[in-house]
Amino acid sequence: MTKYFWYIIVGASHMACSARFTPTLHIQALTVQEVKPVQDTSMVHAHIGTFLAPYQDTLHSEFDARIATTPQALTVSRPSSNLMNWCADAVISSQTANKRFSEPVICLLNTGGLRSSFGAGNLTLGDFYKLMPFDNRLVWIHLPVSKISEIEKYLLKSGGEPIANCSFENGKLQIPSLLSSHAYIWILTSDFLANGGDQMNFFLGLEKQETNILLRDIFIETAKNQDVLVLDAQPRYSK
Amino acid sequence: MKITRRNLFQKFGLLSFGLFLPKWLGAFSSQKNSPELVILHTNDTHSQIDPLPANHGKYPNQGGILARASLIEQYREAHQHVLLLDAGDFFQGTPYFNRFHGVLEMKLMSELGYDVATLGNHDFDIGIDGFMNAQQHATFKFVNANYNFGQTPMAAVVQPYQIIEKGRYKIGVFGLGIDLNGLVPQSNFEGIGMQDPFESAAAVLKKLKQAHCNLIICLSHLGYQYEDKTKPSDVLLAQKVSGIDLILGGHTHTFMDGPTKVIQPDGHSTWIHQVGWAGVRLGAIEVTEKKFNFLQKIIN
Repeated sequence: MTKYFWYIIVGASHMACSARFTPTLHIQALTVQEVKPVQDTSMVHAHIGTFLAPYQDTLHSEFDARIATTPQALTVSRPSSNLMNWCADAVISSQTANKRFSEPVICLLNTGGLRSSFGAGNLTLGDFYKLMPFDNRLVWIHLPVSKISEIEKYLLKSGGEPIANCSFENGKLQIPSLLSSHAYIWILTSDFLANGGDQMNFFLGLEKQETNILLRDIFIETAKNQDVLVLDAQPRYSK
Repeated sequence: MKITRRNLFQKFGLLSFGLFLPKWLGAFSSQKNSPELVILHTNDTHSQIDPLPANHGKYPNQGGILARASLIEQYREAHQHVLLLDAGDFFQGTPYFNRFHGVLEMKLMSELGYDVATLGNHDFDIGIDGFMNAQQHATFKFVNANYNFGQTPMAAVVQPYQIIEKGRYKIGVFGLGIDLNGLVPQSNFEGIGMQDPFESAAAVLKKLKQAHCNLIICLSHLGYQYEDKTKPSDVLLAQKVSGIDLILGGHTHTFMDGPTKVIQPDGHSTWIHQVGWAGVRLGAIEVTEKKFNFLQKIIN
């Protein structure tokens, strides 16, 4: 186990009551894991454990149900990763499967909104709450093609966000279904981002259709339907 | 006895020592190298009450409130003066938060004996009313100096700073928060104004110095440092505002290999420390007096 330990000497004068003195700061950082052999016998461990037990029982009974299995570890990592792709794909497929649209539909979420990575194996309901703890709701935004350049500028700076039905290559958003006749595209995103969250100010003031669908519920339903998650690790972002 | 210059200094030195002995007894007795004060700190614990799972990619089985409690307790048993601080984002990240709406985090932090915490952006995830409901279960204090809480109920429970006395230390602890615009839905912090963190820090420092604090700590949720060097951060704070001894940071989930030292033009040193996220580490800062230097200063 890695142990982090260092000492630093600080010289700085401070006023203590009427006397000046020089404190020394020894700074160290410890992994909490290091105390585990001791903790099992400590009084505080027993006390907190007893206090916590009913909460843990409630949580396990409500959130431990298996939703699906992932054949590989799922990571959230810029510029592009399998979990970022999966989430964006889940949003697209939940809204567009077996439907035809006259304008392109793409998905843009935020990397910061996906809060957890997972090891290979079973995924529980609780895992999906860890992935998307926020009660963010799905929003359709009608974006003029002329504003796509603002998204490109944003993506270039951010270093990568979850996207689907498109890719980001050489600083440009590639949307295969976009034709020269299109004046608008639809973007599926969250209400948080639609309201300018994470500085996505290009969404402000645009026509939008709000829904009561939680992004988390989209992920849960999609995972249930797939049972074993269908993953795409193909990078969707290159500068 | 002939009074020589040398004798005079010896007598004066002994007299000074005797006069101030009771006040400094703690520092002079036993445990020569034992710290007079231990500052323990966490940040971005994000409702991680259980240890991280065994198949976690980076920190398997690490963290957890029970292990944290044990470690804190070990420090309390070994040292008389322990301060326990948190730099924000104690809410959000596991179903405990979704299910119990922050109440459990407040109860557990109180059980662990936290003294002071500042607020992170995610501590507004259930809005002002949600926070107010949860904080009823907190026995510790909240600090923030750069949010104007106006007429909101949070004005009654979040103060710019706290002053805590531990042994010979009069410790000023103040808080700084990140600009919530763009990070938190507007409706979750309606009525709370954002102020310049550096100006707010300077104003608070003035008050803490007037109150003769001899150790000044900033609990910061500004974030360690950004690519955009003009964006308020802990490093920028340390460079721009002199007088802070210790910045205990959060928000950027930064695992540091060691503390960062920033020296201002006036010679004051500020140390910055942050311990990652999810409660997988506990920062421990031992504050000790250099005995030799201390005695020399008295004789002078």
